[in-house]
Formats: sequence, structure tokens, C-alpha cells
Amino acid sequence: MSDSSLAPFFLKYIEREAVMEKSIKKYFPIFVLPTLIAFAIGFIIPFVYGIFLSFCKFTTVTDWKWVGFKNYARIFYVQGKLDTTFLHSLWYTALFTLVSVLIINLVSFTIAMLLTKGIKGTNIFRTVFFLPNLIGGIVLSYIWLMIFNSILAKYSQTIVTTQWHAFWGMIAVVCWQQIGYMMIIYIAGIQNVPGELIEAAKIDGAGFWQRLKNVILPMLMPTITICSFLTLSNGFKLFDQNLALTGGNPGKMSQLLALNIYDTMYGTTGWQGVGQAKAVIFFLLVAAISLIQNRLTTSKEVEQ
Amino acid sequence: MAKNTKKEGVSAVRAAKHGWIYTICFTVLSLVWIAPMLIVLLNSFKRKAYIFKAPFAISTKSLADGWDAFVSGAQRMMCGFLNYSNAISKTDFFHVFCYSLFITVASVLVIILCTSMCAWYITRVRSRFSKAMYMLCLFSMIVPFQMVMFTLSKFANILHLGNPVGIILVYLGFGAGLAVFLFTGFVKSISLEIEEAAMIDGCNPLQTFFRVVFPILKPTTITVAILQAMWIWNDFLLPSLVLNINKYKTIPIAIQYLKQSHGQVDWGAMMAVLVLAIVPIVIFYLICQKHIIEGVLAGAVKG
Amino acid sequence: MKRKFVSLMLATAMTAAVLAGCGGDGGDGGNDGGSQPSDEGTSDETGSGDQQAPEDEGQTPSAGGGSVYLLNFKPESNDQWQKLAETYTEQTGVSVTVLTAAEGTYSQTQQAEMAKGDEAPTIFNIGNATAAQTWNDYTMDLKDTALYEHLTDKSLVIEYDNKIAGIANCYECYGLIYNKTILNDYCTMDNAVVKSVEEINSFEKLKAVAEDINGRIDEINEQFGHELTEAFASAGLDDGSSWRFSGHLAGLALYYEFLDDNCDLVAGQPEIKGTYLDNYKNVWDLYIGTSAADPKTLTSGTYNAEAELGMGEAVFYQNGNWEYSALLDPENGYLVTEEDLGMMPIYFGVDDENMGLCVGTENYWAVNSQVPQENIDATLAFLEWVITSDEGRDAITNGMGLSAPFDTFTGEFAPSNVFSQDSNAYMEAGKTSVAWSFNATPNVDNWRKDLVAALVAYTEGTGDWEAVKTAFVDGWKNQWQLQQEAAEE
Repeated sequence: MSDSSLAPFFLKYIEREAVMEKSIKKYFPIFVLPTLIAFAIGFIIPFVYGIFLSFCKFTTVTDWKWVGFKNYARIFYVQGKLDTTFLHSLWYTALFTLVSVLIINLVSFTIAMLLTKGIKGTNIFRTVFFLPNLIGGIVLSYIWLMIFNSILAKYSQTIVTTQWHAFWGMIAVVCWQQIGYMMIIYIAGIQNVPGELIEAAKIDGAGFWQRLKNVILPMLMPTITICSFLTLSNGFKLFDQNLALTGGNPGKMSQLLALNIYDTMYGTTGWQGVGQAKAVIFFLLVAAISLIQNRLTTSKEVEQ
Repeated sequence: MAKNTKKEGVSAVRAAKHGWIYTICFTVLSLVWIAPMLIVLLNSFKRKAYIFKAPFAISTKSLADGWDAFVSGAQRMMCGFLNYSNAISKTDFFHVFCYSLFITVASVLVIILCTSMCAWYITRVRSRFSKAMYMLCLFSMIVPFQMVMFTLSKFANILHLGNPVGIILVYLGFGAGLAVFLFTGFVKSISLEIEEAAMIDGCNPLQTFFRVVFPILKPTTITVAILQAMWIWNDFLLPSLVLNINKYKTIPIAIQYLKQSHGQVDWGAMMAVLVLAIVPIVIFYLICQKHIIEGVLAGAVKG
Repeated sequence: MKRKFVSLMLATAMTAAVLAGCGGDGGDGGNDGGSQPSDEGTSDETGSGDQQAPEDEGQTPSAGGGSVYLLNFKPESNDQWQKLAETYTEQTGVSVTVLTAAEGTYSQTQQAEMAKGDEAPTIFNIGNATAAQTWNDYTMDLKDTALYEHLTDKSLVIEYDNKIAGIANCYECYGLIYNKTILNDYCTMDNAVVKSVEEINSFEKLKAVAEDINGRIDEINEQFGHELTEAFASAGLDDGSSWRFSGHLAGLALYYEFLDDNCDLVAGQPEIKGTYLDNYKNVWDLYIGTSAADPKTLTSGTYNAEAELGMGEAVFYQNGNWEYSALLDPENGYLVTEEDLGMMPIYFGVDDENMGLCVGTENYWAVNSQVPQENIDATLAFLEWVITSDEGRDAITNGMGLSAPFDTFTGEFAPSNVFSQDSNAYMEAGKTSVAWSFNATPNVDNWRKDLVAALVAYTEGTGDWEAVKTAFVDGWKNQWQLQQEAAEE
């Protein structure tokens, strides 16, 4: 926008901007205050206080007692023994996330490729595939709970017979929910790949797989990154589907992290502090993932 | 150029040649995709006892037993709208639906209004505060709800926000991050000239914002509205912790709480209430399909 | 231009409204301190979006200065309590707020509400000694109250820290609900194991009868026109039903052990041996062996044992007297009538000839000592009114269908519930009521969860009974220690 050869003009521009800034500034209470107050109540204070409470023993927010890192130790060591509940839900969540990311992305990419070929009825298909995404996790899960259990009953099984039944059940639910969403993003990405590039590759005699590998996938990298991390973070934060579909059963074997935290916080008297400490760890994990995502996306953008 | 057109023509012919195979495949796949909802719809008319015994059947007898037997079997299995009336009375569905609708619509309106103004302010006024606010909003997007779950619900209780009006403030607070982020991104791309012109014409900043800036923000407004509406309408954990559940339930809460005291789930009512929960969404989706898909897309790519 | 101006005005007005809203909400917390306790929950749904409503309610002054806030434990009795509160306010002008926590959220709601200082609930529920320990700072000694005076069985209290921390507001009983009609019909059959229901008085008899019935279902259906499918209703192990076995049935094993060890029957002890787990296993095997439900799918949540008994498909169903209203509720459309229903002890094979039903409660009223004195006074007056006035007694006995342990509940206010009447009959016959020893369970959700997981594995054939024992005995010790640790810090 600005060019150094237009320095005088630019200077005036800055001046005018400053005048405008000044007059806007007076309206701070109207423009910013409502959001700021709500943001403080809804996020800033709970967040800071939450970190503080993870070092306390408490049952309500007012009766805290400082206990240092005891809550954090208690996540892993209980009564001098290693407690694997949290670790179990940690790797269970990691595995769940990995599998769901792979399946969702592969399937939605494939569907997106096919739906950009100009097939008749593409719009209807797109509409149908996207639909489950609008239905909330609780509703979705009860739909599938009914279907799974009525089918599995014929084999004398239920969705919580083993943790792996629960695992694949949840995978099916999140796939059904998210494939349509990711498909939309992939379609947009694929449509942005310049047709001439593909045509040129065709003329050069590249087969379908070669074109996919050498032309389409590299061009789609930003889209793939977005979708991978969306599914990644969705998988990590999954709660509603877990609660409604398996409730963590059998035992606590199918508890994902979010449910494990909820269960610790509200299921065991006197353990709210430990629950809060788990939440802090959970936050650090999610934050780390998001930071890596940010790194990757920005570096990809620079490349282009 | 001519060559190019020809090439495209050829590939279009080729696509069309195989097109019908794909169309058939996708038709089948689409049917599979919506089958779960159809199964729920079917079972919502069945007597409780048959939902798990014969989830895919519509009659206790097969057609091979003759038409009359089939019809009487169907009459035995189906119970009309009984499940619906049960579900509506058990969950107090009309109230629940109104609460859900009110909370969603009001929260989205408040979020759009407040955060767009906030975003414009922090973009136009370059101060340390603006920068901090923006960074905090970015930061809040990566914080999982579990992190603030306990404290937020307790503060909301202390401040008496456990009602459909109070929860709007909570949603504004917790949803502000993404909304401010999206609006800021768009405001940055608006040229200053127009706003300046408005100011020179004697508009104060409030007038400038609503006359000039807000209309320009429309595409982002739609994106924000759709993303937030989808989130709030389907949200379970936040309202279940913040709302006074005894008085106010939203649809996801009502479904989760269909499990009664000392009892097992009434699957008949459950099927019916699931259908009641899905139908409005499907209708809304079919009406605003284009906006929804575009909004979601814009939100995903920027977020 | 004009239209633009209008829309601008509208927008400004909206902004102002939002600002006002925020200001109001923000200020609420600060200046609400002295006003009425909680403005929520007093009125029924007034519809959404009515911003003024809560404010108005909050400002309604009560006559005596004191006010009552009951945090109700039983979701099913919410309507009755709301009505009672209204009646009391009409009669005395004292404001009574009733808030009911949804099923499974009581402790959550309690934590939130109790943190409200002067506006905290004046009456809340404590379920057992552990809760009394948790809320020890808040419970006042109820020894000198009218409530305690009227209590018929003085053991129906929670004593903690040398004070009467809670007084039972109802007592409940559980056992084997049975279909009298079908069972009587069976007794008339040739080769029936017993000739009358009264003959079923031990585990062996019960087992023989149940197995015989289960083996002759077609015969019974043919002869009497029933639609029987099983002897015992499904023993669902999903979260909505498993408490019947991890809580109530396990309570029997605990009870006999506590009895042996001479410890407090409802407060328990830090370690248990699982002496009577074999009996527990026998009863459990009977439940799953004489039921039509596939033992491998008991976790699915697709069974509805209540409906099975209600529709005359099952003869026996382990549950409590609270099932009375559900089984006879015309809206549920069950086939059983009041005459069909009876309850017998869950014969456990220990002391069967003296065994009565399991009588106890998880519902004790505790009065908050941390609220202003005038509220405490108002609360005690309200509670006395509830158990002495016609309205209160009618609501409890007939409205909520509860059996109240106070000497004021006589005549027309004696329990109408057939199961409670059965319970009284067993007591009058000199049988010993079994105490609710499962109330002693430490970290109850966690202990039960592990027990159920082991029980599921055993039932599905993927685990052995040893694992159930481990979950029962070792789990108890672990959870007890954890609970102690949590309390001591």
C-alpha cells in the first residue's frame, strides 16, 4: 500500500490515522468494554484462577488450601503406587486421535477427489455428506448407540464389551460427523489447484498416481495441514461422544482425556484439585499441538 | 487457447462416460450416510420392546406370511406418535427447544455485535492494550474447555449467570476469542479511506462503525454467526455446568438427562426426542445450505 | 439515509442494552449479599428471555426476615416440593426456595450452591457419614429440634463429630419385587416346588422356584395365559441399572460382614474381607441364570427390567419401594396392578429365617449452620410444618409416595405404598430389617465402577470371580485410604 517515494503523502496519511485513532479511543467503553468484561468472566479469570487452583486442595472456589505440586504428583502416584488411569487415557486418546485423523482425512480426500470430477448430483452428495456435521455430539452418539447395540446384540456383544469395541464405535461416530466437513475443505483446496498444471502433467504422460503424488498433493499441502490439525484437535478434545456413547465403560477403559478430567473433577470427593491439575496438563498438550500447527502453516505459507 | 478448450471438452466427455457409475456409487453411499437418521426415524414410531429386538423391521411378521398378517404385525410393532408424546412430556421439549433457540440466537447476536465492535477498535487503535487483547483472544482459542470448566461454572454460579440471559455473557466471554480473531482479520483488509470519509462528513466513531464498517463486515459476520450458532446449539458441557439445570435445559442436556432417577433409558422416548432434535437442524440446513458451507469453510481456513 | 439512521439508532439502543446488561450482571455479585437467598428456582418456568423476572423475585420481601432454601435431592419429587413451598409462603409469608439437582448432579450443584455464603441452601441432603464429614463445617446439631423429637426410630440419623448432623426424611426399602399373581398361579401347578409364596423363605427355595419357573415358562403361559419370558428380570449392567448390584446387592454382603465384625452397620470400616462374596455370587448367578437377557449384552442399556416386570414378562425384579409409583403410573402403560405387587427379602443364604427387607435411606436433612440465624429459625419452623401439617404430610405420603420416619405420620398419612406395607409386615413378624450398609462405601462412584467392570467381565465369561473379589476387597481398602487422605489434608 505504501511506497517510500510517496513519503509526504504517507506522512499525512499517518497523521490522519492518528486523528481518527484519537476519536475512536474515546469510545472505548462502548466498543470494547462489553467484550472485555465478558471475556474476563468467561475466560481470563477462570483460566488464571484455574492454574492457581491446580496447586490447591478445594471443593468450592472459596475454600482453597495451598498444597503445591501434590495434585500433579497424585495424577500418577496414588498411595505410593503408580496409577495408570491417566496414562491409559492419555495413550488411548493419542491412539484414537491418530486413527481418526488418518481415516477421516483419507476418506474425505478420496470423496473430495471424486466429487470434483463433475459427476451428476455432486451438489446433492455434498449436502448429504456434510449434514451429520451439524448435529451435536450428544445427539449423534445416541443415534449410533442405538444402532451399534441393536446390531451387536446379535453377536452377544455391546459397544462396551471391550475398550476396542468402544474405540471403533467412537471412531465410526467421529468419522460420520467430520468426513463431510473435511470433504468441503478438501474440495475447496482441490478446486484451487490450477487446471493447467494437471493438464501439463497429463501431456507429459504422467499417470493418475504420478499426477496425484507430484502435482495435486504438493499443491494441497496447506489444505492437508489445516484438515489434519482440525481433526487432531477435535480428536484430542472429544468429550460429548465419549460421554454419551460409552460413558468411559468398560470400567474407565474407554475414557478419553476430557472425560477422565471431568470424572476426576466431579466423580471423586476431594479430588477436584487433581482434576484441575490434569486439566492444566491437558491444556499444555493442546497448546503444544496448536503451536506446532501454527509453525507448520506459517512455514508452508512462506514457501508459497 | 483453442487447443485448451478442445482438451477440456474431451475430458468432460470422458467424465460423462464414467459419470453414471460414480453417480450410482455415490447415491448408494449417500443413502448409507443418512441411513442412521432414517433408522432412528423408523424406530421412533415403534413400541419400546421392539426397538432393540427388531431395529430394522417394520412388522413382527414377514411379508411371506401374507399381507394381512404383515399389516397386523406392523400394527403390533408400531405405536404411532406415542413415543413422541412421551418424549415431549418427559423432556418438556417445547420449553427446552425455546431455551435452546433463545440462548443460541441471543448469544450469536450479542457475540456478533460486541466482538465486531471490539475487533474494529483494537485494529484501528494501535495501543499496547489492543495488542494484548488480540493476543489473549488468539490464546483463548487454544485453551480447552476443561481447563476453565470448574472455575468458570463456579464464577457463573456466584454471579447468578445460571439462566438463559446470564449464559449469554458466558458465551460472549468464552466465544469472544474466535470471533474477535475472525473479525480482526477482515477489518485489517478494509481500506481506511472510507472510514475517514465518513468521519470527515461528521460521523462519530459509533456512526462510522454502524454505517460504514459493519455492512462491509457482512461475509465475516455470516461466518461468525454460523460457527458460533453450530457450537452453541450443540454445546452440552458448558450449559450443563453453568445453567440451573433444574429450570433450564437445552436440547443436548435434555437428551442426556432422559435417564431418569433410579431408572433405565426409555428408548422409545429417546428415539422420538432424537428425531425432534434433528428435524429443525435439517430444515435450517436445507434453507441456508450455501451460507453454512461457505461460513464453515471460511472459518476453517482462517482458524 | 433515513433508513440508515433508524438502523443506527437501533444498533445504538442494542449496544446500550447490552452494556446495561453487563453492568447489571457484573454488579449483582457485589451488592446481592444481604438480599434473599437465591433468586432462582422459586417460580416455575416463566418462559425464556424474561430478563426482569429474576430481579423481581429477588426483591419480594418475606415477612419474618428469615427465609428457607431447600436443595432437594430427589428429582422425582420436585413438583411436590415446589407446591409445598408455595403453600407455605401463602400461609406464613416466609419465602421458601426449592432447587432440585438433576439426577447424578447433586454433589456438583451442592458445591456450587453452598459456596454462596448467606445465600446458600439452608436445608441440604447428606447421604452418609462421608458426606457428613465433607460438610461438617456446615451441618448444625439437630438434637434439640422438633424434627428429632418426632423421629420414631432414633437410629435413622447421621451422627458425626458428636452432633446429629442429619435426620432421615424418609426411609426406603428394597428387596425382590415379585408378581404375586403369577407366583400364586405357579404355586397351584402340579409339581411346583412350593405350594404358597410364604414357603419361599430361604435362598435354596428361591433358587429352586426361580429355576423351575424358568424351565416351565411355556407351560405356565399356556395354563394361565401369562406372557412370561423369564423368572428374573434382566440384570442390566449399564450405568442406569448396575447400581442395583454394585450398591444394593453388594450391601447385603457388606451388612453381614459388618454384623460379624460388630462395627457400625452404615458407617463401615476401613478394610473388609469379603466373607460373604460367595453368597453374592450365588445370588448373582441366579439373577443371570434365570433371566431371558443375554448375559453378554447386559452392558448395552437396551434392557428395561422395570418394563419386564411391569408387562408381566418377569416374576422377580430386584429393586426398591420407589418403584411403586413407576410401576403403577398409567402413563407407563404397564399391565401390573397394585394387587399383583409384593416384595420379599433378597434371601442371601446367611440368616434367611430372620431376614427382612433392606430398610434405610440416603436422604437425610441437614441444616446449614453458616446462614444467618433468622434463616435457621425459619428453616426449622418450615421443617416442623412439613412433618406436622396436613399439607406437608399429604405431600410426602401421597404425593411423593415416601414413608416418613416420624410419629406424626399415622392414619391417613401412613404409607400407601404396598412395598412399604410389606416391609412393615416383615418387621411386625419379628424379622430383622437389613441396614443399608452400602452407604459406607468409600468414594462410591469409583468403587462401584471397578466392581461393575469386574462383574461384567465375569458375567461375559472374559474374567473370573477372583477379579470381582479383588475389586470388592482391595478396592474398598484403596478407596477408603484415598478418601481419608482427601479429608485429612
